[in-house]
Amino acid sequence: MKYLSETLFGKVTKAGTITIPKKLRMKYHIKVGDVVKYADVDDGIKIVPSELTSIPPKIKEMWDEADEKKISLKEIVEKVKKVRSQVYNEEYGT
Amino acid sequence: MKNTELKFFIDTTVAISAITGRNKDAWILLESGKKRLISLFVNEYVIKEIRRTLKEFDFSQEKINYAIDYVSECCIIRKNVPKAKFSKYVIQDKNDIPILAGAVQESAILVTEDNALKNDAKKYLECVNPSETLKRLSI
Repeated sequence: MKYLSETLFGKVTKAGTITIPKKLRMKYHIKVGDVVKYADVDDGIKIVPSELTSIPPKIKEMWDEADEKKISLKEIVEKVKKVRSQVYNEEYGT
Repeated sequence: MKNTELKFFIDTTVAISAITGRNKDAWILLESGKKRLISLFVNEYVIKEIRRTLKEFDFSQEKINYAIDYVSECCIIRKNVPKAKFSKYVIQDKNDIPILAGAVQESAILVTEDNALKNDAKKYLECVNPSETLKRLSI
């Protein structure tokens, strides 16, 4: 593992937020919306990318396919509504 | 960060938005269930809808099966609530009752992407979207 030679700093805002320096975000592949984990260690706080945002390859394929098909959240809600009506009739009758 | 005493019932819209990557918060929620950080529930009705909806979006059978297996690893699957118990629920869309009744039976918080269901369900239980769930869990 090659470490960054320079020391990077961040300023804590009123709300308690800090910005992870871009170099570190790039190095650890941290993207917008990702979750990071804070660990309380001897000399401070350790920030590690959370495994909660890792994606199995087959799921990633589905994400890519959904991108290609331009599936939107609105479309999902509408499609589920349509399917729900069919499934209700099959399971419970009209 | 374990919140397993909090139970969440996942609507089909949330499972699909997670599996297709349309809402990253929904994905984080699903993963939190897989890692047993929280307790997630669905019922057989939801599983059937996931299968059918993914088919409607033209995903291959192999991918649909994988998605169902994945959701099954993340959530506890309950039996459907019998229709006899539906009469106490008065909501705009009767087709949503199996979801609502499933969440109520589990004493869970309902998580949905559907704002209409969210507003309707509030009469009977707490109902939130995936982002609100994560905020509540401080994830």
